[in-house]
This record gives sequence, C-alpha cells and structure tokens, in this order.
Amino acid sequence: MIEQSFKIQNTYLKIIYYSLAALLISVLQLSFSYLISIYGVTPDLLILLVIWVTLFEGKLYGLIFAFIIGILFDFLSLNVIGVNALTKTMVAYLVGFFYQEKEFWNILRSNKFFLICFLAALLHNIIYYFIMIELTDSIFATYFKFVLGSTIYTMVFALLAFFLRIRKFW
Amino acid sequence: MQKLIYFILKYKEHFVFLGLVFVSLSFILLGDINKIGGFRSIIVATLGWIQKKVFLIPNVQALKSENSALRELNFNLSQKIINARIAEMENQALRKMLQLKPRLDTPAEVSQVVGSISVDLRNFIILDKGEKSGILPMMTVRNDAGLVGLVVACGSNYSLVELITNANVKVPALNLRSGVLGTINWDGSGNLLFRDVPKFMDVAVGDTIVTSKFSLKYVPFVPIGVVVKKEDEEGELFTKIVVKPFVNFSFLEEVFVLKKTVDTELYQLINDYIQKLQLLIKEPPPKSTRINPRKLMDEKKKLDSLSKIMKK
Repeated sequence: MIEQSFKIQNTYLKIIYYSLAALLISVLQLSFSYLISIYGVTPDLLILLVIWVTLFEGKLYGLIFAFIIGILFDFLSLNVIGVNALTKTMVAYLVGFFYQEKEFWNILRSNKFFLICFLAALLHNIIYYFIMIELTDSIFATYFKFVLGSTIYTMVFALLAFFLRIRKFW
Repeated sequence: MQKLIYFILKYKEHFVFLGLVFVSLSFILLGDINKIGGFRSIIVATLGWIQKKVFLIPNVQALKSENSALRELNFNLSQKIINARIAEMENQALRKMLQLKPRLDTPAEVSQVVGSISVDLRNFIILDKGEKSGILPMMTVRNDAGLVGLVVACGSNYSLVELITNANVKVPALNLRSGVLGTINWDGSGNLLFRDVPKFMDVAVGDTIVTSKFSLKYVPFVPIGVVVKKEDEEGELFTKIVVKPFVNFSFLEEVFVLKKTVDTELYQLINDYIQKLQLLIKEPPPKSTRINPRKLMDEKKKLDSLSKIMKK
C-alpha cells in the first residue's frame, strides 16, 4: 500500500517535473533562440526533451508526452496547430525503437545516444520544414539549409551529454 | 472480440502513434492553411510529377477544362492572326499601288471599293469617288495586278464599275509575246477565255495577255492575265485558250481609275456609221419606191397595146 502510494506520488512528481521542463524549454526556445540563431537556423531543444522522456519512460509515454508538448509549443509559438505535435510524435515513435527498460543511463553514456539524437533531429526537421517551408525562389536550397542546419545545431546541444560521462559532473 | 482487444493491446504504441498523427494532421488541416503554402506547393508539384511519370490514366475533368481553355485561347489567337493577315495584305496592296502609280502613263485616281452589286447576272463594284473627283463613264479601272473593269455610270460621289467577269463583256486583247490579237471574255467560272484566235496563231501557256490598242473603251496595255491552258479541238477553226486573271476579283480593296476616256470624234464616227448600217438593215424603202414586177408587166402590156393601136 505504501509502495503503491509512493509510486503514485512518484508519477505525479514526474509529471510535474516534465511539465516544468517542457514549459521552461518552450519559453527558452521562444524567447532566446533568436539570440543564438545563425542565418535563421535555431536548435530545437524540445526534441532533446522528447528523446529523454521516451528513452526514460518508454514508447507509449513518450508518444503522449511528445504530442502534448508539441501542441503546447504550437499554441505558444502561434504556429499552425498540429505541426509540432506531428513532428514530435514521429520523433517519439522513432526513438521508441531504441527504448530498453532500465537501460536509460547506459544509453545516455554511450555513443548510441548521439546517433538517436541525430536521427531524431533529422527526421523532425525533414518533416517540419517540409510542411513549414516558405515559397521562395530557391525553395530546395532553403529547405536543405534549414534541415541540415537545425539538425547540426541541435546536435551541438546533445553533445552536452558528454558531461554525463564524466563522473565528477553528476 | 478478445482477439481484437489483445491485438490492439499488443500493438498499442502503434495505434496510439497512428491516432496522434491523425489528430495532428486534422489540427493542421483545420488551422491556417495559408501558412503552409510551401508545403502545399511541394505536395502539388510532387503529385503532378508522379502523375506525369507514373499514372497512365489522365484526369478527364482536368483535360476537359484544359481543352476548353486551349480552345478559347486558340480562337483568340486565330482571330488575331486573321486580323494581322488582313492588315498585311492591305499593307502589301497599298505598297504595290504606291510603287505603281508613278509608272502609270495616264493620270489615275485612287479609289476605294465600297460595295458590290449584281444585276441580271452582271457583276458591278461601287467606288467611293465620282464626277467630283473627275471620274467619268468609259474610264478604265485597274488595280496593282491588272484590269478590273470599266466605269459605266457616275454619280457626283460614287461610280459604278462593270467588271470584266461578266459574260457580255468583251475586251480586245493582245498576246504580249507574239502580238496575236483576240478577245477576252469571261468563261463563267474563275477564268477568262482568249477567243477568236485561229489555231495556227502563236499562243503558248505562260503568255501574258494585255488590253490591245485597238480597243475603243479600254486603255491599252493593261495586264489582264496569263495563259494557263490551250486546247485545239478537232473540226474547230479557233483554239480554246484559258487565261487566269491577275486580279483577285473576290478581294478588291483599292483601285485606280485611269482618267482617259474614249476619243469622242472617233467614237462619234463609228457610232454614226453603225447607226446608218442599222437603218439600212432595219428600215426597208417605202412601198411606193418598191419595184413590182407584175405591175411592170401590166404597164408594159399597156404600152405595147398602145403602140399597136398607134401603128394601126
């Protein structure tokens, strides 16, 4: 009984933490991303959060979390409702194939994590910019610039996981 | 049912994923589509490319509308082409006339054809100039190509021209190469006949026929046409020569009226002679002046009987 109540409490705490993290990253993404943008290309930190949650909690939770966070971000960013929800859900679905129970920290410390981040960011950007690309003279050049640029920029932030390999940082 | 529930539970992540994707796409479609113009254009372009490369069955409705649009476009373009052609022809005709006018021996009046009429199977055209412009009856009318006809009546502002494409019109003509004389007469179709030319005369296909100087009405040496056919029929004295006129009588726009009328003295002389001939033919001598053989015989008998009586 005590164990069950502890589990429920733990779940609530997780939801609160994830919600706070999602809100914080969304605000950061919307408010400060322009400060670090290079030729209009910005990193997508929410992808990293979705990867984290999916690898930690599993595919199903990851999917639901990704969808909710995507809808939330669409509302906050005044974007077309559903675009981020769709792309983030697809990212969660892809990352879900790499999920292994109780292997989160091992995956995080391995090079596999970077591969997952790269694939997830690439898939996200391919779909996102495919939908959201604006009509220009050089539409394909712009498309590839944003897809590859944003993927690489997101990967730079994923490299922060290197610090997790060094024990003295955690 | 249980199997279905088991199946759904087994693949719940996939079903959830599909459901969430469906909801996301629904949100996108319900939202502001204008923001995803690039996406729409890429989709349309991709679908078009696939349809062009892969699908063999065309979109009938699209083809119909395309055909309709193309027909309309074709109609407009053909109309423009016709207008351009008419303008070009007009331009060419005017250029030719400008080049021809200085070369004409006789003074000429340029006139526009404003109408055409047919009276008793005789074809006439109406010119926009008349006596005020110095045009008189019996003046020859031609265009840049050749002989058109003869002015037969004049008003102050309009003139009536009898075309040479009338069955009763005969134009004295001359073969420019060999000098053979004949008469040009309309054959009832699009060609003319060079008549009254004996078989042994030198006329060949390709010879140019012009008006002869022996004509009383027409100005001499106005081109009429070119010989296109020559037929010698057995038992005939004359050869049948077909002449294609230089003038396109179905498209007469501007013409020259050659201001040269008939020599009145010569015309009067001929007229008087013709009248005399007609009088001789038509009016027999009065009955009193006629010789009656029976009467003469009676008179002779009377005279003979009188002479006998006198002798006795």
